[in-house]
Amino acid sequence: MKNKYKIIVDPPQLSDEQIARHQDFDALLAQVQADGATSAPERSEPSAGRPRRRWLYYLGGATAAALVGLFLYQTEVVAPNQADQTYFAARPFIDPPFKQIKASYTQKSLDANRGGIFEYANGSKLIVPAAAFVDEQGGIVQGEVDIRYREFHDYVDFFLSGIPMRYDSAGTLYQLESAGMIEIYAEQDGRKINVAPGKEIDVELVSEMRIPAAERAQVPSFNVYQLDTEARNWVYHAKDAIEVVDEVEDPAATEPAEEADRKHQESLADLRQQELREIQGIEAEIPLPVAPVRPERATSDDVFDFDFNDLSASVTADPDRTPNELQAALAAEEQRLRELRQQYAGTLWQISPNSPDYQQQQRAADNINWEDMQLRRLNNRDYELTLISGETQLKMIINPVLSGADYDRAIQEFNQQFEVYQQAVTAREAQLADARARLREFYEAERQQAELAYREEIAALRSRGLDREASEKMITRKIINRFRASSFGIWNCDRPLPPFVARVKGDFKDDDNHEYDSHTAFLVNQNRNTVARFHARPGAPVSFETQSDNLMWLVTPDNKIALFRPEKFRKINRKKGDYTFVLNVIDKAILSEEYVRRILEF
Amino acid sequence: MDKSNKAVSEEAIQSEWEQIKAAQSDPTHFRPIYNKYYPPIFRFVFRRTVDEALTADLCSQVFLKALQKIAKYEFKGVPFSAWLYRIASNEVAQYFRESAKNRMVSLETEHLDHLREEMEQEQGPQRREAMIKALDELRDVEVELIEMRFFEKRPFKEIADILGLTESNAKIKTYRTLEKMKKIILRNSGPGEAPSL
Repeated sequence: MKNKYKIIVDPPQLSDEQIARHQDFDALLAQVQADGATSAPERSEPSAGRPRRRWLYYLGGATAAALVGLFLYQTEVVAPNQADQTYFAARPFIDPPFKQIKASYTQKSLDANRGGIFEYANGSKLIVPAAAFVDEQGGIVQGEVDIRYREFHDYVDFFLSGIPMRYDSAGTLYQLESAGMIEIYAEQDGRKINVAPGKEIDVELVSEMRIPAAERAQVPSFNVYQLDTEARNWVYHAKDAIEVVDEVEDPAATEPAEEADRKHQESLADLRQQELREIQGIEAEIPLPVAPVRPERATSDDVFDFDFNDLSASVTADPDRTPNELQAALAAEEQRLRELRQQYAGTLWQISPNSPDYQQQQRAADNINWEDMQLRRLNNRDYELTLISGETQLKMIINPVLSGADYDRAIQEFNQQFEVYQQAVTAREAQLADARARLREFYEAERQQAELAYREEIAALRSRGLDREASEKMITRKIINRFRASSFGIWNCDRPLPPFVARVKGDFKDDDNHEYDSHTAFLVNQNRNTVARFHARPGAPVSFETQSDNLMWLVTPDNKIALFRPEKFRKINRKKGDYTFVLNVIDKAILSEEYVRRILEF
Repeated sequence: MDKSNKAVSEEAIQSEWEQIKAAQSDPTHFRPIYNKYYPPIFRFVFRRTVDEALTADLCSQVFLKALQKIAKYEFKGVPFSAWLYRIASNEVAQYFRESAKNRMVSLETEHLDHLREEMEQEQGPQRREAMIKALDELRDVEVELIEMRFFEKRPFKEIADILGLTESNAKIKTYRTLEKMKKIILRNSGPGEAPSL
């Protein structure tokens, strides 16, 4: 009788570290946000005359920019079609389209006993431990072995390799977006050898990745999968430890719309500066009234008065000063003293609490007959008094104070002066408010003018298909994917994208009216580093994304490429539901990878 | 056995409910819940698949579904973990149903001995074999009761919460399943034969 359950006695135990390797909340969150797009109603087609692209500008903000990347492939799951499954099941799992074009391997030799580090032309590294290989019988391989290695980085590499980028995760189909893929194996004397159990090869795969500029601050989250050619699926291994090395100079960085945006921002900044300068000018023209100083009542008995005639006028003997300049400085100082005498005639002074070391200094200076003194204003209330005797100086901070009837009289005068001061401040504020309002009105009109000019420029660029909102801009980053390969084969640093959605039911023919009723077709999107492979047949569900350009092609029976270009994708009316893809056959023999790249460039 | 099997206090359930409410309004607040329950859910699924990569995939589905449905989650006095285990259990069942593969049941030798004691069965390797054969004849829900109670050492209260039963009902069903296993073992040992030791 057939068993219903598979009973595992004493199963292997997982360590916390093993589990933690799979734990990735950020990836989950991104997935949820991507799936969130499914419940949103489908957006309507842009009306005639409107820009054909949907702009993140309207969504606004970096968050929207970050999320939109995940919306590229909508998530409505397409029911697997039996005909499609049968079609692909009957084909090789790795199915290169052109047998004559193969990615070449880089070959390196090493002593298996010692291991070694191999650095490749692009900076990728393989770190092979000692005694890392076994032969088919499981014996440790000794002596020299040949490591053969190649990399796949973009949709042309993936297409030419024939390696599928579809991932079946527990019955749910995902398209894998790659951050770099490698194939690695080793031979000794022409015989393939294996990685020894328990040994791992450290891989540092250098590649480039295009991401939305808005996601610049984030380290992308990718996984590592190995291709299981027997199970015809990718097998998840671990998280990809990505290191972002730097930003690659992007030739598309200075797009016309970006330049217009930069100029517009500069223009707005200039207007803000002008407005600020004018406000400051008006404020300077209407001087701020000087606030009267509130008189201070003497708070201790330790008050004193002094004769301002005892104060000496002194200036710094600066050697750079000419005699005339020195004379002028002295005259100014004497004028200052005269004003002080006038201002503080009859005023008492007391030591400020801000002179903490006065007592100590005074004790040190006991029995000194002071020969001179100087007074320097520190602020409205504090003055620095310097007592001088030869080389000895005693400095203290003093405050002018009043007592008794003098204080009462002074406070009365202060109150009157303060009222006048407040009225002057209010009047000034009113004057300034009027001036500011006039300026604001003027500059607002200027800003609107600038905004209008900017919008007209953007509209003109849109009509020429040249605009690209800055937040949508893609940047290229150089990255290092780090992972450990525990066996030879094809390893891929990927992240699963939600499955494609059937946007239209497609029929396929070429411009010679030749119909394709059972063919492998390929579809790529400009913003996703993957190639989707599907079965082109009458009524086949074809999904594409509308935020950025798509390119579809197939290989004709006579080994030519038939293309459906991005501009045609833009003209598809999805509301009709059905669409006949008329592909343009490139009537030349495919001889090299370079030639394929030229054809598929978009 | 993971640490989540301890009885969850009312206070802890209430505190967790606050976290869930926060996650309902902003999914980023789901992070502490995710971090707390990822390891036990992973172990739960792994025991039923014995495949690390598959477990990782299924766990992704479990938490994806949990986060997608959390807005509709209502607090009914049951620990949140029970809800997660229920989703995990459904995911595992769905996987094995769709892949037409045999569902895995993990057990340790000592757990089998415990089960034998509960069933008042005699010792011996052949007896273990008979018990394993008996397990194979149980329905999915019966196997689930046995594995949660005897192989994962979960309290009846938690089993009840996960399976949506009352505690007493979980007990009754578990002991009925033990009785069923006994009968299967007796039947398989042949008429009039004593159980082989």
